[in-house]
Amino acid sequence: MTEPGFVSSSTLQFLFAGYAVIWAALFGYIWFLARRQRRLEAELKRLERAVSEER
Amino acid sequence: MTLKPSFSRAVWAMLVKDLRLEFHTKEMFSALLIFALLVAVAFSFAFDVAPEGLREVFPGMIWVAFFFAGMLALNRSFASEKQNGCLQALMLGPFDRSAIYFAKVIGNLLVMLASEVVLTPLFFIFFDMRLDGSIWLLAAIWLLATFGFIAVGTLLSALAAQARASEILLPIIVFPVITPVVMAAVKSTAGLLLGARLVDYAIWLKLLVAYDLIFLAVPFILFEYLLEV
Amino acid sequence: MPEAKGPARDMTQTLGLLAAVAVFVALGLVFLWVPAERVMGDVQRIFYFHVASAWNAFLAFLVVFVASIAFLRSGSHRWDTLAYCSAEIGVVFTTITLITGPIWARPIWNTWWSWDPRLTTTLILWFIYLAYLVIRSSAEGSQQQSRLAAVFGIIGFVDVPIVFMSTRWWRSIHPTLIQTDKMNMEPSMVFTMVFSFVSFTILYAFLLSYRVRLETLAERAAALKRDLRR
Repeated sequence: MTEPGFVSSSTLQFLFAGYAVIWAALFGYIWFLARRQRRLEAELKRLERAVSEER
Repeated sequence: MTLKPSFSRAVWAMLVKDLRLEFHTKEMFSALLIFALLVAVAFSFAFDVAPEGLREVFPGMIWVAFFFAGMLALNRSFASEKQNGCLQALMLGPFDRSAIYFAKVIGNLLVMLASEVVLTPLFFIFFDMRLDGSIWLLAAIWLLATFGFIAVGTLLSALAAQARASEILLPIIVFPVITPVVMAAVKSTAGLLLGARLVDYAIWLKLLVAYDLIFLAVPFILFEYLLEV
Repeated sequence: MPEAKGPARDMTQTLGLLAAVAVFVALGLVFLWVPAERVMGDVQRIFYFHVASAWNAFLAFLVVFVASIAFLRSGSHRWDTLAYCSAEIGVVFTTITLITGPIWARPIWNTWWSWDPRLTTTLILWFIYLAYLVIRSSAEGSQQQSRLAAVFGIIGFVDVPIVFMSTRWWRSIHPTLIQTDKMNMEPSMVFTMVFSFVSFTILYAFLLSYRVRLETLAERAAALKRDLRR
């Protein structure tokens, strides 16, 4: 195994990469959901208008 | 009540129907045989290993060939019933739906075991393997592993048959679920061929038995839901 | 339980706020408060969120399993929606676990990937639930599709412990070089770990309620479309 000192000095980039991945995945997913929500709400509004016009 | 055939009679009738068809066409059997041999040939080119190293890779090779070929049989198993609405007709039959599952499991198992009986000696000859251990132990491993594969595979093949693009779907859903069988089959075969003591790899045989029992019981409960109209 | 209308907007928003606060506090604990692990150094800080993601993945798949059984028994549509949404979130967290694992492993074990039981099981888990999502997208007719997916959701979960046992025995034949259990956790580390678990569980609850809400919106849109065509 590697020496403790060696590990902590050169591994910060891995720590950074790890959390970057976590944030990218989480925010990416939430962004994807939010975009879908916006589209769905717009579509729902359009559809509801179309339904009420038909009646 | 007298109109309803017993569970075993229903299984038997469907099994005879499937086997008679298979006996005439030899569709699954020949496809299994040819494909498994082709995989073996591909392996021999891909891994040009020395005879000493071959003993190590041979168990993995033989099982990957069997399972890949078995996939072909599974794909046919329910797809053939779908073509002319036969599956609908079977589902309307006056018996438990799990009878369909059991008939298919036994049928697929027999076809796959029959092709393994032909293939195993051929594999041993091609790769110049000698069996030092007990042939009964080998038979037990072959039976347990093939059964585990077929028990899960048949259920999932019924599942895939009702979805779109079932031929593509089936391998994707079967392989992750059977990874324990692949590991146990390869490890126990390696133990047998490398002349290890039985106690050293008995744990894999136990795993196979446990897997077989679990995936015989689970489909028994779930199959009813799979084939609802 | 969400009714046919889906979780209320207020509930989702409250959960979202709570999750954001909890995750940021956890982040603060991980980076500012907890001391670096003695052997592995700073990179060990990945561990807290990595394990919390793994926990969330497991929790999500447990929910898929329970909801699948409940759906098959009751035939109620909302269980089916719950199972589907939970599976999708589970796959997201499994992906996070699978990527952060190697990033952590590289400086510690000097290799990106090792076929260690936990990693292998997680990888197979990922494949199983990807297959679940493929089934979801490949069956026509919602009722049938739901039943197929529910059956697979049960089989997949039953398979997971067997996969774990087999990967463990598979490895134990070779000498294990790596022992992740031998980490000496100080009380502050245990606290940070537990806090990360809790904050991620809240995050899971938020994502699930948000996802279920979206699904019910999509269903309403589909129903309206059907009405219009008539």
